[in-house]
Amino acid sequence: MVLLVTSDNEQFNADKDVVERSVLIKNMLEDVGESDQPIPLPNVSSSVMKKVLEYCEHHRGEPLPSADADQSQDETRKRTTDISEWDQKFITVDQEMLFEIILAANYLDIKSLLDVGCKTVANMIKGKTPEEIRKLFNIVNDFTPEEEAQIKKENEWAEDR
Amino acid sequence: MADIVPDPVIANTTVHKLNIAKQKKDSADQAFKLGNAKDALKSYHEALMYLLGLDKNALQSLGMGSKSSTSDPTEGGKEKEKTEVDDILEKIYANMSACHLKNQNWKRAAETAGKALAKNENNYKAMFRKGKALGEQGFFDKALKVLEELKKKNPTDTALVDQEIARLRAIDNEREKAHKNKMKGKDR
Repeated sequence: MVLLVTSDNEQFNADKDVVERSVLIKNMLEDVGESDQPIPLPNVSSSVMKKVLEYCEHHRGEPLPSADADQSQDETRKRTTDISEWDQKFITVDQEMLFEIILAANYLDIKSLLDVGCKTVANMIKGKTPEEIRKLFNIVNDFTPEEEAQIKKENEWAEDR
Repeated sequence: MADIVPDPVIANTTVHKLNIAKQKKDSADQAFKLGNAKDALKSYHEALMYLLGLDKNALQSLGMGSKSSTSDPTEGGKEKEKTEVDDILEKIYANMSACHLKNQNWKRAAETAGKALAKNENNYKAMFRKGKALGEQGFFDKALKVLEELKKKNPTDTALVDQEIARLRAIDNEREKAHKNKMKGKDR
């Protein structure tokens, strides 16, 4: 068992093969071995860590992408926007939690979870107009009308879907 | 912290974490100097836990990020902004690589040296360590490439680097010989 402590000082006890989904933690455990001292994770909160551990629990034992993963494997991984049914359900959370999960996956170096999060955002954007996307993410339109017209003109070729 | 900063909550926690990370790094450096690579690695790892995932925006508002020279978004986006955190990370990874070399953990030594180089491709110590670690793993050609580049970038250390190349070449020749004895007729 590995002990983790989050930014809000909550402790988590998890199996080694669960936490080792996180390459950040895996590297540490490999380099220094297990100890009864908790591993500090000051940049994740307990509410997010709960979700992350749920993901790691479900995917325990699956092969990790190697550090020097060959390019073609990496390409296919990135190209597809498919998300498995379980992951889909798992990632159905409010927008704030979604972004927190993405940040945590990046921090903890859990590639597959980062993929799921980013693909979900990609799917949210897909097929929407710029105005819809702005509304979705609360983005203020900082283009002048002239700039906007120019960009629209430059991207006319992409309009037909 | 007694100082009052504009955005107290974020700023304080960010500064606080940065300070803890620095302390961890210092004790790691100390442990390494005393020859205790394992304790050093533990503290370096803990420092990483504090440094990675720190809010880059918070750092910038604290003036710890170098501002990009241009306000043009297409240029500024491409330019890599280097913060104080990046600086410390570079040193931590380079030092971790030294720890791994000491433990003869060549794979991790090469990995961590690579991470230091991702922060600063002109970190000569990290280049040397990466080359050495690659050579020890049996990737002589890759090692040679890194070390030759190091000589180009930093000619002052040429003698030292040449010595390392010669050493790795000798190891490689030994391996080759053993390999040929095992599988005769295979080219390469």
